[in-house]
Amino acid sequence: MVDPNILWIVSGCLFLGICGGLLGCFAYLRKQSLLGDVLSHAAFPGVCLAFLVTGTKSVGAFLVGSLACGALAMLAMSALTRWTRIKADSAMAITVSASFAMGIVLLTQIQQTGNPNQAGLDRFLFGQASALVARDVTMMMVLTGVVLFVLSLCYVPLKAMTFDPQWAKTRGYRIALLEIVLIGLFVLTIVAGIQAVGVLMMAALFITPAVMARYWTSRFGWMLFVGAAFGGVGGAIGSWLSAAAPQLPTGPLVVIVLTGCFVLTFFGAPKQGVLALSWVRLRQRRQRRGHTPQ
Amino acid sequence: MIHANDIIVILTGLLVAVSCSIVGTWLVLRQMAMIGDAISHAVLPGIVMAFLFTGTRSSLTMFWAAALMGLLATFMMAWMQRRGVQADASLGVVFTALFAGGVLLIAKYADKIDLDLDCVLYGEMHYAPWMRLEWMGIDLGVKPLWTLGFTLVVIVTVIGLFYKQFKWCAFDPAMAAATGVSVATFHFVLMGLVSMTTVASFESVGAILVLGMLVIPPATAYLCTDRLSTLFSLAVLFGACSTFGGYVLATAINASISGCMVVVATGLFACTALFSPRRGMIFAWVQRKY
Repeated sequence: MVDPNILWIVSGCLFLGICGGLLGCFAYLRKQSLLGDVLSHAAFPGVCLAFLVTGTKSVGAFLVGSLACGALAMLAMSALTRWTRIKADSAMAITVSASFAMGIVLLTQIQQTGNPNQAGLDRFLFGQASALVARDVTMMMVLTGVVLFVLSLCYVPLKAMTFDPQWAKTRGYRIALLEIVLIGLFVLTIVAGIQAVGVLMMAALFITPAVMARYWTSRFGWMLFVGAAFGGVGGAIGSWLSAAAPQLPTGPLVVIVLTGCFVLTFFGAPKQGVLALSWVRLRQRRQRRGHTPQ
Repeated sequence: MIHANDIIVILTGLLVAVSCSIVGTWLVLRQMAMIGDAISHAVLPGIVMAFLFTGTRSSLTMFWAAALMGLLATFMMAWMQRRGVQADASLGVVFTALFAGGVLLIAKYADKIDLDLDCVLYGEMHYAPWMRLEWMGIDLGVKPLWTLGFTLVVIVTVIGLFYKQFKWCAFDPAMAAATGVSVATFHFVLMGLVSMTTVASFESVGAILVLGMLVIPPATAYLCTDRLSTLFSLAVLFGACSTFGGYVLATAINASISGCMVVVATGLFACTALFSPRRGMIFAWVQRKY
């Protein structure tokens, strides 16, 4: 008999994975795979600040803090690459490490305040799904629901922006606004997953499913579907394993499940997988040998 | 009143900052800063497995295991990129996977190894004076100072010997290849040095904050000069300033030393990016306007 509580948590992580997979596909095709990494690290000081100000673990405050810090990180990165000679990769590395360091300093400060609510705040780094209560899961569902709703609303313009920004512009879509929407959706997903998967592990939820999806198909619609499926599988199985072994943090388990899927895909995917490619090469070599004169 | 232990902690921080700044300068110049991020995460399973197999914090095994892991990660990323995966994405897949593996190993064998997740996150610089190196029962002194000093010597030797080759590979890989320098070899040598620095700094600043020390001081120096030799000296100088500043800040607000080091480095960087003459944002803005 499955514990209904665990079932509820697992389904929350399933939706989280679906959102991660979908958003990751957009980021991958726009060559911004590490966007999720930057935003999730930026969310960490945001969450700590929100906790310092409110003194409670409220999702609303976390959301405001993460959105503010995420926006600041994106602004800092674009200002650095546009107005100084710092290159994109350095700007990204600086933003990631600076926000993480600020988060760590704030976290050590919070741990000294003696606020009884702070217990478990350090779990936000690696995630602990078994510590979720019904209210947390409901919030996860609401946030991921909002992400899925907005994605389905903006599907056509986002697709246009991903493949042909010039055409999207002539079509009348506001690119800057769409980029902000995409970043906002990332932050919503990160805040939804911060307790279950943790800030340090959220990046994989955006990157790995998208890379896998690209291996299985070349059609955008299918890619979204496959990415969402892999993300969902990773989230669900990872959180279920973590519920079975509570001493293990959830985030790394989710990542390991996703990586397992990735290894299978990398070798076994049709057409682009390592095995399929070597099979094709072998056959070509044999054919060539067969057709040589004499 | 400055205690002897404070000096040891500051010295540890200084050695970390100097090693990281020297190696990081090449990363910033070759636009590979995020690879530094990937390697600093990827060495974790190597460190943990070395702990598990040897049962001690024996530095040498840890060194090799983790440096191998870093190189392995580099090879995996290169392999995936040859298979058509975007560079950014291959990096993300590899480092999240390896880091997750390391974290799980620590959580699983928490009772068997003397290593916890806090150490992974922000190091244990406070305890540096109490980590002793013993050889045949004789106390030889503070272990982090030995490992970091050894790393610094290796880094300076390798970069000093192959300075010209590194310079060519960074600024003009095509010319380097034309004159017979193996660009790929020096790429992997650099990656090896990055892994080594990360491992040596691991106990002091943790696996993640090392990225800040690798990238931020060189990037700050990059905004101040065009000369490679000045770039190195300034990077080391900024690294040292961040160490002192970080230590003072950490004692003032009683927070993690390594965290404060990176925060101070970020502050220095932000000031330079804004106010640097000729290369800062304000200068660029004024120039555009008038």
